[in-house]
Amino acid sequence: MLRVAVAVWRKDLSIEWRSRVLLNQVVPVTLVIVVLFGFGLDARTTLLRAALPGLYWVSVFFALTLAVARAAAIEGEANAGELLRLLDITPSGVYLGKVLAVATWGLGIEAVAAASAAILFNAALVDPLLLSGVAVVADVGVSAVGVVLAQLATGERASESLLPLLTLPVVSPVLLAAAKAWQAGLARTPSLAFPWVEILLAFSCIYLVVGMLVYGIVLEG
Amino acid sequence: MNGYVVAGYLAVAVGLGGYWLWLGLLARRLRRRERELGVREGHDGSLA
Amino acid sequence: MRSTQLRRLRRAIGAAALVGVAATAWLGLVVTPPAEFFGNLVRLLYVHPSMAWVAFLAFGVTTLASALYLWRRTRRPAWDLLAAASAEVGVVFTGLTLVTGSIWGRPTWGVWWTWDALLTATAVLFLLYLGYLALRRVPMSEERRGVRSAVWALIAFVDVPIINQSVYWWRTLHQRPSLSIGPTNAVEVHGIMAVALAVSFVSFTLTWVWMVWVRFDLARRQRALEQLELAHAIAERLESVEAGS
Repeated sequence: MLRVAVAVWRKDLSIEWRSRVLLNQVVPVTLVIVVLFGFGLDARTTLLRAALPGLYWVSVFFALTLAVARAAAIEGEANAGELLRLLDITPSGVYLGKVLAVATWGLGIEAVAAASAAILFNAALVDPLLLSGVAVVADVGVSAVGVVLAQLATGERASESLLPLLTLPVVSPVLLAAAKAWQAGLARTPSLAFPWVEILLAFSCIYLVVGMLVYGIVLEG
Repeated sequence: MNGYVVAGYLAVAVGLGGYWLWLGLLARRLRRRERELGVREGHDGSLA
Repeated sequence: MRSTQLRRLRRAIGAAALVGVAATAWLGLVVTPPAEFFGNLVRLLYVHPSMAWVAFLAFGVTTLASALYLWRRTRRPAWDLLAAASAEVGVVFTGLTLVTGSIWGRPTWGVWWTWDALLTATAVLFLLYLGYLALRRVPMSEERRGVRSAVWALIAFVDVPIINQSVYWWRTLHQRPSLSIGPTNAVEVHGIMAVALAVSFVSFTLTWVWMVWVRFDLARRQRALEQLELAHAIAERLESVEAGS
């Protein structure tokens, strides 16, 4: 299963490396959102700094939804669901591989967004260990549920707006927890972040298990 | 009577009544199509 | 016949629900006295909690029916239709829960919306099930829609405790918890008020049963009709092919 996962992960990364849709479109979109927040809040850096955790995570979540949609599109282009079934490959392995791929892209998106927010909002990202740890766990959680939802919401005549409608409410606790944990980290009170890290860990673990259980059912259905 | 109370009861009446009307509309459309296709009255489309 | 008996039962439930709702309005607006502290506002107590109860009941039934559909041994199209009917009615009741809660909040807390834990979780639940209905509207084959919407219902269900826990910590860690006290905790319920409350719970639950039943029946007939139309279309096509040859 892990072998399948790694193979799928490498396949998705190499396809993306050749097409560069994420690099050329999704990453710039993230930048645009961060800049727009600066415009929307009248470039008041005190305000922007105070709101940084929320603004940062909202922009990352939008970009992650795009990345998830991209991962499903790669699979759809090749009609890979059918192929995987014919070849009798463990669906949970495919699932893990896709989650890994989306999470890898997500890390890139998060890094770009964090750097641009820190520079544009003139904020110091104190406690980088806590912040990046939270970012990794939140990234895995969103990818874990996003990969399944993308499989539900794509194909045939589903419109593009369906995926955000499905994803964003489900991951809303992740947004809340990640923003609160970042708030605690930036305010130099890392102990306050613990309950939120717990929620993030619980969310990621639960949805990884759920995803591994249901991904095969979704593929065949 | 308190205006908020009236508004609350009215909201419930409008919400449930509206849904009820919509169900009626759905049923009427369905019955018309059934008649066009010659489905016998009272057929419940039982699921095998 | 069994089906006519069932239809009679359904009509009886509908009539009982109608009478019950009318009785709730009468008890709530006329018979019961205003409360000491909340005054006339307490009358909202006879609609808001029962709306919320029915909303949670509806989504519970949706989850159960979805699980039964996903499990191969019990997979029947009826479970899928039941899940859909219950979710649709549940969305109506959740919407009414939010509206009546908001109407309660305005005079008691001075705002139409507070980020109270229970209220926030209910709002997210509302959005989740709007997504469910949207997913069902995407045109796809019957079985695929059944599987996909059932999977979605399970994912949403798993999310509910996580949402609850996170908004609970969110709103209670740093803020005085008095906001999270719902209307029920602050009012002493006794005598005729308890009667009105009980009538309200029973009659709105009956309303839900009736609505889900009707909606389910409509969906079932719709499904039969679509299959019939398909059969007609195939027969016509065959005829024209035969006439052509």
